[in-house]
Amino acid sequence: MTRHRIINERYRMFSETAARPDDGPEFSVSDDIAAMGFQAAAGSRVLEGYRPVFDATAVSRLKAVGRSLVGKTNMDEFGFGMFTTTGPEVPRNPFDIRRSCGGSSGGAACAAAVLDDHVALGTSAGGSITSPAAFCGIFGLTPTHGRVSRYGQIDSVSSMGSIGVLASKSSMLRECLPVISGKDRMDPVSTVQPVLKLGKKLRSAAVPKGITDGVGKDVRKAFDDSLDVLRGMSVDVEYVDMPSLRYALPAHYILSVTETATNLVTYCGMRVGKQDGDLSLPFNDYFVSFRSRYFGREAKLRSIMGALMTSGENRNAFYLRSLGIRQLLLEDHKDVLRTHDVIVTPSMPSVAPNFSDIEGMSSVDRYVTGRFAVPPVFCGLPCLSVPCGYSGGMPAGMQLTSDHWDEGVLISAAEEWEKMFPMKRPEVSV
Amino acid sequence: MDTDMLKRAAGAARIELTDEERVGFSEDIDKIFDLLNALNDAPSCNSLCFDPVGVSDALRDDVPVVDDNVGHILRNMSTYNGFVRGPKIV
Repeated sequence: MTRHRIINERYRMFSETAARPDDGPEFSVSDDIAAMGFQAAAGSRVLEGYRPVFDATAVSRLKAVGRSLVGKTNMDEFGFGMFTTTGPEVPRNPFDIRRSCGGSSGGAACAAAVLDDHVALGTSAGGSITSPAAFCGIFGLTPTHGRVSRYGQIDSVSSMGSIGVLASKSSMLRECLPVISGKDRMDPVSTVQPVLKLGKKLRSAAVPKGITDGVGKDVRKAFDDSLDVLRGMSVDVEYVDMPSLRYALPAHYILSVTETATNLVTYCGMRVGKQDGDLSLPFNDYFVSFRSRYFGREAKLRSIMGALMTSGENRNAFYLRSLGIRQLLLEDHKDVLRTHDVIVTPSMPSVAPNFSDIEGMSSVDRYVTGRFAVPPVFCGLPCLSVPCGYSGGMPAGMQLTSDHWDEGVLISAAEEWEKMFPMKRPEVSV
Repeated sequence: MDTDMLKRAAGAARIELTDEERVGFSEDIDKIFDLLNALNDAPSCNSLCFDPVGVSDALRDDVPVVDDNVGHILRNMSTYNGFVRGPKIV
């Protein structure tokens, strides 16, 4: 009997004891999605103790079809990370517990990889679903920005944030995405969406030229082999030029830190989350003291960078320039997607790194690991990470990006891929 | 990064850094600017993309509704006689 099966049997014994008779199939949500009865801290000490009095729309819609929310999952503080090492707890990769689950929705990917038939909702504003899905060997679907209402999502990057689905079976994407998507009066961005159409078959894929330059040998081999599998599925694979991709990472960083700096202003130790500090201090000193004490390192760094990017001459040189580059990137993606169903890249440049290697990485080193996962989310495009190979027992991922609102082709691709690719489940330590 | 500039930016972000943080952040910010300087040779674009999927006005019906119970919301907060307490303004 495999360890994977043992842990699921133990989990079933526990959940059957705790469950009520009318509980349906389970799901979990990351710590930045509001759910009644659970703390929603977004992985931050600033929000410790915050218990929302409402369900996020995605949560209430899943509950309405009979699913039971069993818990919250760990994440990087406000989603600021690619390895889930900046939150209060660090989930370990179920394929090798010395390695990261990816991030920022690392806990969600871990739960979906380990527990049978589990659906995990995670969030992404820059690869936070693709990264953990790739590192944990599961499917990770990031919908078009606005496809899933963000009501109840603690969103630090407003123009890119999305709630998505992580699962070990493609059938769960087909089951859950239609439930959680749709217009919602509480999120104006969701109201522009067309109806979700499923069933479109994947016929053509574009691969940006030189996309595997600098990628680990093991991931490159897995990716190249996967292109052969796609060809075997009668998908027309063509290499294309996408020169603007090289600007995606810096432009995304600039826009995300500026939006972050604005959104994190909410957290000042008064109305939401932790309330702690000397109220006799002057207004400004109280806020400075609270934020300095309770924000983590990356939240402080991004808040400072956000202030820098919008001040004085930087506003034109960096902020406005990045908005222009996002337009260029969007046009490049649209050009390619006019003639191809999807754009295919590796999900991450390596398999999941060891925690000891992550400790030695600078903030920039960590950030650039998201160079494939960032561009689609930056342009609001839907993307899907599928497991595409194993190196030393660790999964590698392939990312498919489709046009706005065309999640249907991604779900069909996941279903076809699952038939062709032998997926492995982790041998979890018990 | 210059210490004074870092201090000013941190002040604008309402964050006070320790000496140790100041050293680490200064190194990190230098590396971040190296990354951002890749934009220097990017082609220019006249249009700015604030929202990649486009947004249209979506007005809610002009009907009063009670979304959340105020009592429930206040239970989440430390209050004094039903008011949220804050620091001195003057």
